[in-house]
Amino acid sequence: MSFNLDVFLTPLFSLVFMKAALITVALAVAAHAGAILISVPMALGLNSGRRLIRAMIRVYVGVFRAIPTLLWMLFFWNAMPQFSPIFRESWYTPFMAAWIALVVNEAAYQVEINRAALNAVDRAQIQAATAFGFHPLQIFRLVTLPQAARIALPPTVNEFITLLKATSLASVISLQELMTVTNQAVATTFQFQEYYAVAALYYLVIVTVLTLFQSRLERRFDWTTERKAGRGLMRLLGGRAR
Amino acid sequence: MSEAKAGQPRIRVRDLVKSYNRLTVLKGIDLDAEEGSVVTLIGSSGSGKSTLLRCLNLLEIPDSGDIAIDGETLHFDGRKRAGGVDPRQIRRVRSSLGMVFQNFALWSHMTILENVIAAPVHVLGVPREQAVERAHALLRRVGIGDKHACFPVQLSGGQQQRAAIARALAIEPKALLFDEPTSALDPELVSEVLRVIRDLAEGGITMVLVTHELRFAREVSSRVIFLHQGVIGETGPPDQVLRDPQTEACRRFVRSEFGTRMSSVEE
Repeated sequence: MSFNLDVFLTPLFSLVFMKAALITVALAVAAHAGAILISVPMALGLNSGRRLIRAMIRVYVGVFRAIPTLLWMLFFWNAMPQFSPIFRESWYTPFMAAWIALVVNEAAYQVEINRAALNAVDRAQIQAATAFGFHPLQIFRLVTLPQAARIALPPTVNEFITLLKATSLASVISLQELMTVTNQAVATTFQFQEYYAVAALYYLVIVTVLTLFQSRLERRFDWTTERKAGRGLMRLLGGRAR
Repeated sequence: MSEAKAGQPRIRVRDLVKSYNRLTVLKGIDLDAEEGSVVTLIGSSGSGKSTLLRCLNLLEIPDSGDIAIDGETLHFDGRKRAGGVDPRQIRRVRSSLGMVFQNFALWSHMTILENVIAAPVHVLGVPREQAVERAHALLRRVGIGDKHACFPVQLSGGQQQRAAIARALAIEPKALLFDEPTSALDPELVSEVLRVIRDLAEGGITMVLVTHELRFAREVSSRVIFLHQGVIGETGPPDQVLRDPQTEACRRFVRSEFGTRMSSVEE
């Protein structure tokens, strides 16, 4: 059987596949945003002196890293409705279930990245901010966070790429993302080569664009080499420095 | 900047005690820095001079004793959290003293200008335009007016330390605290920093200076305090303490320092 270009090009530019790609990207972005949001306080907790908090976070990381993402997907979609009627209502879509599964899973990985980045911030600079009378929250927002974010950027983008591909697991709970749409097309047409190639090309383009975006971002927020940069981040974080 | 109350020194320390675990680093220190004076702390490493300086702006919380900055007295009771002093008061004292560190400690993700305006804008609430204008003037004053858009990494050590001095001046401090400001510098960069410090001293800014540059200390100090094993070993005018020490410990220290460190301001 030879490669049929028409069967390849038609879905490539079809609304169905574009929408599926959009769902894939949206799920990955929303999941990573949620994961970062809960993993930053967890990283701070890991660095804090409280032994109980540290132990609880360690258990969380251990549990969520040990169990496959696929199992979490199935668990949140199939098992949660058995726990509570809340999860039987209409808001609980496959997208929500997949989102929760990816957030709790990804947070377990992201927390280590955040912790390492926070620890890598120069203590002397934090002390200098203390010496000038900054409030601890100001020190975090104006010194610790921007510097840690820069350190965490490359591994975080790496995580995002892994996460983006992990969204394909949501095909088992019939979320209409790229892999699901591909599988459905293949199941009716048996045109494996063409549809798999379409899906592969979508993933490839998304990740390539992302990688380009990453290197631009890294250059922009590079204050360790002789280049004028960094303002973007200050604005981003409300530092408003000129 | 408020005027110093008549008859009160800018900085007054009484019976200051600081210990780490069971090691007592400061064993009851008294210190007065009159307005416009330069008090230099000398002593071998471990004598407590850096700890004393860090206690002044409360980077270290003393176990007991009193610190008064421009008449505002803080009494410490080390058994209580933060020495029994309100965190807001601690931050207020800190924001009234400009600290210059051995390793500059400029914020590496901010430009030099951003470094200088950060504390005035975020801590003191100075309007941004005003802070920027003042920052440019301060950077010109320390001789790096053209470096405002650079990041710290783009500057030499001497330029970074001068930027750090501008940052400390930007809060219009009641006193400047220098913690070995030239110790991390290459020898050829020491003099440019010392020249700035000397200009400030002659300009009447109150300073407490920890340094190993004894020649420089002799030139700029109003008073020299020799710390030895956590107590004041000797104190007096620089010519007396540095040329004619009264105690054996101070004599030995001065002799060894002058023997090994020859760098000072040119001229």
